[in-house]
Amino acid sequence: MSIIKLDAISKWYGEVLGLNNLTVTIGHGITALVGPNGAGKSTLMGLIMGQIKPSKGAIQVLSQPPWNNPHVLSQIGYCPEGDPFWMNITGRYFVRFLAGLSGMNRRAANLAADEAIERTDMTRDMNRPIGTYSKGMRQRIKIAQALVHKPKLLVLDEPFTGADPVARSELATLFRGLADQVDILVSSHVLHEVEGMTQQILMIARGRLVATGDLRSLRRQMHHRPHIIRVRLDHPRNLASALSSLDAVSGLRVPSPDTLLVETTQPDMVYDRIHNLLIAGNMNVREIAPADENLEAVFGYLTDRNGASADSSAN
Amino acid sequence: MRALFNFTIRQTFCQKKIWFTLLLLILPVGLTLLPRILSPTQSANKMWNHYHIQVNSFIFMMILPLMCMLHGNALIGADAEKGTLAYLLTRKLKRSKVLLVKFAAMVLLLTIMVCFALLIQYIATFAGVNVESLGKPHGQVWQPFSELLAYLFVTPFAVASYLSIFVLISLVASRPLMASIMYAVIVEMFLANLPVGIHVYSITHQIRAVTVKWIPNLSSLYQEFTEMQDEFIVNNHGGIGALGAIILVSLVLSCLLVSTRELTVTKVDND
Repeated sequence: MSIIKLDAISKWYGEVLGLNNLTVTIGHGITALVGPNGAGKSTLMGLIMGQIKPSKGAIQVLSQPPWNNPHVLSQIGYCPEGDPFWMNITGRYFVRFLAGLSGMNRRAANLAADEAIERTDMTRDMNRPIGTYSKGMRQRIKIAQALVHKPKLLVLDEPFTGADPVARSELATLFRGLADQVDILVSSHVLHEVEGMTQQILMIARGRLVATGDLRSLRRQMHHRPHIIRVRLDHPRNLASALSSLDAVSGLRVPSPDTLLVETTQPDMVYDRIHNLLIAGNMNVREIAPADENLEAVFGYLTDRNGASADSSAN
Repeated sequence: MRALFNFTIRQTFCQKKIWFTLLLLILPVGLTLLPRILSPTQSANKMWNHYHIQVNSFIFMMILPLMCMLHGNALIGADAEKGTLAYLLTRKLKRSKVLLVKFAAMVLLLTIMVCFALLIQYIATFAGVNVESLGKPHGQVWQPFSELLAYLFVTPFAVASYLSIFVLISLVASRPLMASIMYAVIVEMFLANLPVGIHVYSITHQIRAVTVKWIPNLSSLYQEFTEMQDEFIVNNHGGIGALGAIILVSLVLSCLLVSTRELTVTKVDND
């Protein structure tokens, strides 16, 4: 059974396209929404939380549209991106106040706030103003307010941002622990942050869903991605002509007088060949390195590939 | 709802602008005490005029719109800008309820502040003065306390109507502060004082209509407006009913807007 269902959702901000015809169903457990900065993750989170309206398409969260729907929203715990806080109030007051807004009376709100704060390990600092908290503490108190009314679904927008490695690991452990009682949708622009938490990944880039599934199938899709190897040496054209006969090489470029970019789907074979040629040819090499191993490049590849397949199917 | 009501009041007290507005409100007290110190003997007419000018021209016509502008614009806008509105709009409350509860809290707070200013203005003017010995102001019997009650009575209506208008403007305009200033200057300062029928569409005029009905001789402060005062009094135009209508219409429109419009500031960087 799905907890979130998006049907052909598009969102424009004037001329800017935030989301482009997104259809996706999110089920139980922990689901990670991954994409580079500006991919449309926060727009998607805003739509799910009823903060923004879709320009086109329909959205259902817990089987109902979320816009201005307190019944649905009261069942979701939301942890927004960034640092949106009333800095002068204490962490405890913050969580207790939002518990009160969730319909609890004063006594119940106090109890629920203390419990949520304890779960996020903030009890020691709960009586300090939020303005004095570190980034990691602010993330934890945001999570406490999202948990305070015992929601069915937790929506966490970039919860790892600003947290140090230890805090990240603690947060990931906390989320894994919560997954038994609550479904979680967590967004991140760093794939490895969510790798240890879940196998269910949604990848979006440029407002489009570029890949979905478990981590293994995503890795398989990325395996076929052409790799680009950058070689910096004195005479790049000599090496280029020596590599041009290889079937594994799908492209060669000389972007500057001392750089050669080699495009291949079999990087291991090409690395070996380059090494052999360099040794035999006595070339003065300064660097051999992958040029596109970052996540942006992976998203770019998946986006272009999906875009091309969409175009070809349209034709 | 009570949690949001209390929180709105608490947060307002933590802002610097509330202290700025409080300072503005007690400014007329200074302007009252100064002449009392400099020239202790005053005529009845002068004293009566001075008191009512301070209350009407300073408090009701200048300071009250200014403070409602500042707080009305920030009622939803401040939380939207900070991103904290997301916490309020994702709870067990309808969007319109969030607006109405915050509005009610702000009306209460500003009303108390203005009433406090009116009280200390009254004390600063009349404390230690035997008004009867000064003679009759404009040939009428002194009624300072019943006049104070008239001002206290109109205050919540004045606060709510100004505040509701500025909240509405903040929800409609892309540059709320600029739009609010333009509204205040064009409608409340210019149109309100025109000796033609259009002045009835200003809150300033409606407040004046109420106080003129309750306080004898008040229209003498606005000699140049006597015609228009007579006009709406005779025709029974304006007053509390008109202020109530302004509040109702503004709030209904504001609730409609918050229920249908996106209020959070969304970061858009994927072009």
